[in-house]
Amino acid sequence: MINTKKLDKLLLKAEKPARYIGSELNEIVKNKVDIDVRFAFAFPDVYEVGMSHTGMHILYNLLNEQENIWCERVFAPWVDMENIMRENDIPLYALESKDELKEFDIIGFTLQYEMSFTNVLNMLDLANIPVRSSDRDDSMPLIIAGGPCSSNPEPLYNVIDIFVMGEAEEVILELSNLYAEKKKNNLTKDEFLERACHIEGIYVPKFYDVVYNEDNTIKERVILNENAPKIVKRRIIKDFDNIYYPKKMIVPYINTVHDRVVLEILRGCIRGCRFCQAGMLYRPFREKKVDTLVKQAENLIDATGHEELTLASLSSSDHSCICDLSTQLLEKYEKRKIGISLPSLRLDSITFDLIEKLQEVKKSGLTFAPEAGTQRMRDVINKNLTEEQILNPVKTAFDLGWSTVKLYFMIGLPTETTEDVMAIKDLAYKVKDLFFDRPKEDIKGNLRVTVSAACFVPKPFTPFQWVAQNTMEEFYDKAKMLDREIRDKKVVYNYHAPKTSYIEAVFARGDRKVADVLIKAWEKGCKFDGWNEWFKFNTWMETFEEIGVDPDFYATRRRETTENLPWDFIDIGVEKSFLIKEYEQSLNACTTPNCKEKCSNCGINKKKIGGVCTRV
Amino acid sequence: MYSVICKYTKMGDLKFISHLDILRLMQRAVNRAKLPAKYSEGFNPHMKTSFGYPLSLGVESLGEYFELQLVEKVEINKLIVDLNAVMPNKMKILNAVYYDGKESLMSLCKYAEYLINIESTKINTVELNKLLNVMINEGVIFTKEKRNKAKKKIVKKEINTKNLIHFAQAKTVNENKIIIEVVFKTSADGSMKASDFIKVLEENNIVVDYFNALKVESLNADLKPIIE
Repeated sequence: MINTKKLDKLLLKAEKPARYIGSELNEIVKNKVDIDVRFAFAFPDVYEVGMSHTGMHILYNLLNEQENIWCERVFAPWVDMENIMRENDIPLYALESKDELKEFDIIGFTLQYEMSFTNVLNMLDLANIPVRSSDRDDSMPLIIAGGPCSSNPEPLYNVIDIFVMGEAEEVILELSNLYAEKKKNNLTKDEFLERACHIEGIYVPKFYDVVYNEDNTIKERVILNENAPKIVKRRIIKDFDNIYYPKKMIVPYINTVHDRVVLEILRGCIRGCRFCQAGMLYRPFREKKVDTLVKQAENLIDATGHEELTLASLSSSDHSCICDLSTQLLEKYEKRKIGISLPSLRLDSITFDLIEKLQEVKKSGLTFAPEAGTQRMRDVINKNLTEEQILNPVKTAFDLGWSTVKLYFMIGLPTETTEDVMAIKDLAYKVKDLFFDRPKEDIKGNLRVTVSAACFVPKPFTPFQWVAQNTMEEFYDKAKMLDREIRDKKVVYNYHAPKTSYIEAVFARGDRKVADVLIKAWEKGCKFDGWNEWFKFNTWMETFEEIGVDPDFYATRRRETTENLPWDFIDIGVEKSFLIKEYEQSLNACTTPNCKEKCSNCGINKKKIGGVCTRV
Repeated sequence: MYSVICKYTKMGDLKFISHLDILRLMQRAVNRAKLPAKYSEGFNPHMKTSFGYPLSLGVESLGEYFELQLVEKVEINKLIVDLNAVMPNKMKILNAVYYDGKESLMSLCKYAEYLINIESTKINTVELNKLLNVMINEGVIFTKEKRNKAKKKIVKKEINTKNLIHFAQAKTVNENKIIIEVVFKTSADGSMKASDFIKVLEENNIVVDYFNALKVESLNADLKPIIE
C-alpha cells in the first residue's frame, strides 16, 4: 500500500480531492489473499470523465463477479495532483486498495479517444513502469488495451503488450483466466503471450513487423512468431440480450460528466453514416428485450439512487420497442421523480410524442445533429435526413414551448464546397425564422440556437478511411468564414480547434512510425491533449520534425483504395469491399438505405463471426 | 407533511467530500431507501432537504445533521435502519426524530464541539492553555483572506477570536501529542474553522507539526446536542 498518511495530508492541497479517495458506494473491496489475478482498469482521463463511461462499469463488475479476480480502478490524476504525487514520491495507485499499480498483474487501458494516448504513457510513468514494452521485464504488470481506438493499435504498438479487439465481455475473462494459469505454472511473459495470441480478438504487436515501401506506405506485414495469426478478428457478442450487465454501479461523490443510470439498450447501428466509426465497428445491430431492460433499470436505480435514467445507444429510436420501453419506464418511475432521457434520437413524429411525454418529468434542451448544411453533403455522408426531417421537429418543439436548440455540424467533409459550409448558416437561420414566424402570442421564451462545428477526422474502418483530411488552413478558413457570417444575437456559433483535430487525425490513421513521436511528445510534456488548456500544438509539431515523421502523410494525404493500410490485418466483420463501394457511392452523393429497409451486404451477416444480422 | 431531523457521522475518506456533494449523497440515499420524500414543484423538482452549517473539507464528524421532509410518516426506527442499509461505509445515521418546531436546522445549531489533535515536539500545555484563555476572554485578532468571487479579488478581514470561541482546553496525551477540546460559536455572521484556530495558535508562537480535527457535536443554545 502507498503511504496513505502522507497522502491524507496532501489531498487537501489538490483540487477536488474526492477524485483520489475511492470508497464510493458499490465499490468492490476484496481480500488480497484470495485473489489470483489483480486487475487495474485504467481510464486515461480524469475521474469525472472515466466514471461516466459505461464500459468501465460493465467490465469492473463483470471481472469482480469472478471470485479469483479483483478489478480496481485508476484514473489520470489532474495536473495539480500529479505534481503533488511526483514531489512527494507517491506512485500512481488504484482507488480500492491504494496499492501502487506496479503490484498489479494486469493493467487494462481503455482507448476511447486518440488524444488520451499521452495520458496512457503518463500514467505508466507515474506508476514507475517503463512506457516501452521492451523495457519491462517479467516482474512488471502486463499492459493491455481495448476500446474503439484499439481498432488501429499501431500508434501504441511499442507500449501495449496485448490489444483486445472488439467487445470485451467474453475475451477479458478468457485472458484473465489464462493469466491465472500463467501464474500457477510460473510461465514467462513470452510463453504467456504465445498462448494468449490463440484467443480470438487478441493482438500481440511484438509478434509482427512491418516492411515499408520507399514512399513510406506499407509493403507488407511480417509474422515473427509462428503462433501469431495473420488476421486478428474483432470479438462480437452473439447473444446480446443475455450479455452480462451489472446490477449495481459505483455512485461517485462528486459531479461527473454523466451522473445517471445508463442502460445500454442496443448495440450497433442500422444507419451507416459514412463518417461514423462506431457505426461500422459495432455491427451487427443487436437489441435487448424490453423485459430484460426493465429489470436491469430496476436493479440499477435501486442500487444507486440516481434520479435520472438514460437509454443509451448509437441511435435509440431504432430499438424496435422504444415506445413500449420508454412508456413502461416512465410509468414506473414518474412518481419517484426519476427522469428518463433518450439521447441520439431521430426526431420523427412517433419519437416526438415520446420525448414530449418524458419531458413532463424533467425538461431539458433539444439537440439535433444534421452534420451538414446541404442535402448534397448529407447524401455524401449518408445521413439520410432531409431538411424537412430536420425542420419539422424543430417547429413542433417550438410550438411545445422549447426555446433552446443545439445543432451539431461537421466541416471538412469529403467533397465539401464553400456553398456547403455556408449552408450551415442558412440552416441555423431557418431554425431561427421558424421560431419568430409564428403568431406573436405563441412566441414564448428566449430563443437560443447553438451551432457547433467540429472538424471532420477520417477514421479507420469507415468508407472515408482513404480520404484526405482538410488542411488546418482550410479548416480555419471555413470555421472563420462562418464566424464572420453568423451575425445574430440569437445564434451562438462555436467551432472545435482544427489543431487538435489534425493531431487526432494523425494518430487515428497512424502506423508504427508515429509511435516514437507519441513517446517523445509525452517526454516533452504533452498530456491531457484533449483539454485545450494543456494541448501543446507547437510541441507536437516540433516532435514530428525531430523524429522525422511527416504528419501530413497521415492526416491530409488521400490514399488509393489499393494501398496497404496499417489496420488491414484486423477483421472487424465488415468487408473492405463494402467500404470501397460506400466510398465510391459517396463521391457521387448516392445514398445507401439503412439495414432495416434493405441489407447492403456489408459482410457482417455473411461471415457470421458473431451471429447473423437479426434485422435483415 | 412531516419533517424529520437525522444525526449522522462523516468519517474516514468522506472528510474529503464537500458540503454540496454530501447533499446529493443524502438525496440519493433517500432514493435508495425508497423513503416517501417530498419534492418541490416546477420544471426540475428537487427533494426538500436542509442541512446544518457546512463542515470544512478535511474534518471528520460524529455529529452532523440534516432535515428531510416526507409526505407520509415512517416509523423512526425503520427509517434509520433503511437509510443505514444504503449508506456508504463511513457514514451512519445515529438517530432521527420528527420535528415540528419553527426554527430551521441552521438556527438550531449554536455551537460546534471539536477535538483537535496536535502533534508537536515544542508545545508546553500550560502556555497553550494561557493563550487559549486570552483568546476566549480578551480576544486575539487574526486576519482571514476571503476570495470575493464577484470582484475576483482577495479581501482581507480582521477577526477577533473573542466572540467565536465558547470553550477551549488543552490536555497533554504524551510528550508529542496534545488534544484540545474546543467549542466554537456558530452563527450566520460567521464562525471559526479548526484550520483558522490552528492558524491563530501558529501566529502566536505555538509550533504545530501536524493536526487533525474531529467534530464531535453540533450543540443547541443550551449546549445540548440537537438530538441525543
